[in-house]
Amino acid sequence: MKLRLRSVWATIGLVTCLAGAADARQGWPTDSLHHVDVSIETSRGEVTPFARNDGRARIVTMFYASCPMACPLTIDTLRRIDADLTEQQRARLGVLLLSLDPEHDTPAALREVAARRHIDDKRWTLGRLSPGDTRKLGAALGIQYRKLDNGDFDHASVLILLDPQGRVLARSGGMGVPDPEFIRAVKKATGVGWR
Amino acid sequence: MPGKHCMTLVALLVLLATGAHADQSRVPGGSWRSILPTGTAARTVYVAPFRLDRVPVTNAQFLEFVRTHPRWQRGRVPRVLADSAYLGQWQGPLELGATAGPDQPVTSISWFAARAFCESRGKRLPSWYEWERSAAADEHERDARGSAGWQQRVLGWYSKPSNRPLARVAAEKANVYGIHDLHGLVWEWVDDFNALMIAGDSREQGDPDLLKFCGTGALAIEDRDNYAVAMRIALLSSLDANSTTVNLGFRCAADDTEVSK
Repeated sequence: MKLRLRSVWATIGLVTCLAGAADARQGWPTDSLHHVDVSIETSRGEVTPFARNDGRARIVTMFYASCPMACPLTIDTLRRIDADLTEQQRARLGVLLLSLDPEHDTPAALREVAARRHIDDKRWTLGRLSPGDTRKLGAALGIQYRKLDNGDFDHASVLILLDPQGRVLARSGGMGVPDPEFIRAVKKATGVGWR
Repeated sequence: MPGKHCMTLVALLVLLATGAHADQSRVPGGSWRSILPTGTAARTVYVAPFRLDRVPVTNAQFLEFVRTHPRWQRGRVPRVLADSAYLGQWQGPLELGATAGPDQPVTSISWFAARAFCESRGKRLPSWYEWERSAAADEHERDARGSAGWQQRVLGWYSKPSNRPLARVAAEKANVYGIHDLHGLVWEWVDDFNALMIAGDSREQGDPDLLKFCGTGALAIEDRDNYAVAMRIALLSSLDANSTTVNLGFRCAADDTEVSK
């Protein structure tokens, strides 16, 4: 089991290296989080670099599958934001939910969350990173979290809006009613003429 | 000739076996009463045995690193990985100059850069618990936190002005593990600096414990008398991963791979 896990992280690591090379070529802005060379293993089983340029803005948040309260609320908040957008705006927005608990949140466990929470939109991605890269991306995003000895996590519930180049446009608490300013930023980032 | 090759091979193997550890001390595992609340019903946490560098990483060592890893040179690092003051005390991207002695601890280092350095050596940054456990020792005992002398010494350092040149590493006596400079020289990064969530941070709406955090919420410091350690946490929790300061350096740790004694 340990060995198999290791090889999973090694694969993710390899993709990260390749992504790192691509990263340098693409010349992201100096304040772009795309410089943080980590890769994501998605619930669909694909391994993709965190850095990407498909012209979409992204909302990124971190959660864990067995989280009892705050994380379901975060998903609700994300849904409310989505619901407030036009079809056109939604097409220009990706939603990325990344696990704080990569040891337990396997692609299958994340698929289970997606099924339970009726997340079927292709624009939404659930994924995990290697344990070291989870800490790395969490730190880069300014998300504070710690694992407790009983397996639970203390973590800040934060939504972070990135432009297609990976720069942070806005941040918001992830629970309850979405912050109106954050929604304005999402609309602006996904509006026609942006880019 | 084959003999010579053999010798080289043996020397290499010895180096491989000992090299990674030669500059580190082993700190035994065990249950640990941290200044941080455990977040659970337990009063202590378990810390696995680990190895810690005996001294902070020096300017000379970091210069060698940026020579071989040019993407971490000043002027090349993207802002998101190290702020504009990164390695600011060096004369140039590949030159220490008069203000940064080779034996002084390297400072003005971001968390990303510190981590990349340790990774390049097959090591990692220590966790907060590991750092705290190592730093609780003095020359005589493993946990000297209760002694007035220990606290005075740490607080005495905090009250010194920070604009004086740094001493060289290992100028002070080592603690009982053989580790130098955990207090009195520089502040140090830990790998999980963003796990140190102090109560009062970024409260947004309503009950911060319920709304902001999933779990038991922001930390309140357990041992209110232990300002010496609490100040470390306050500093670390105020940093971003790309932050640098003139008094903030780092050292590396490693898992303890030896069979436990």
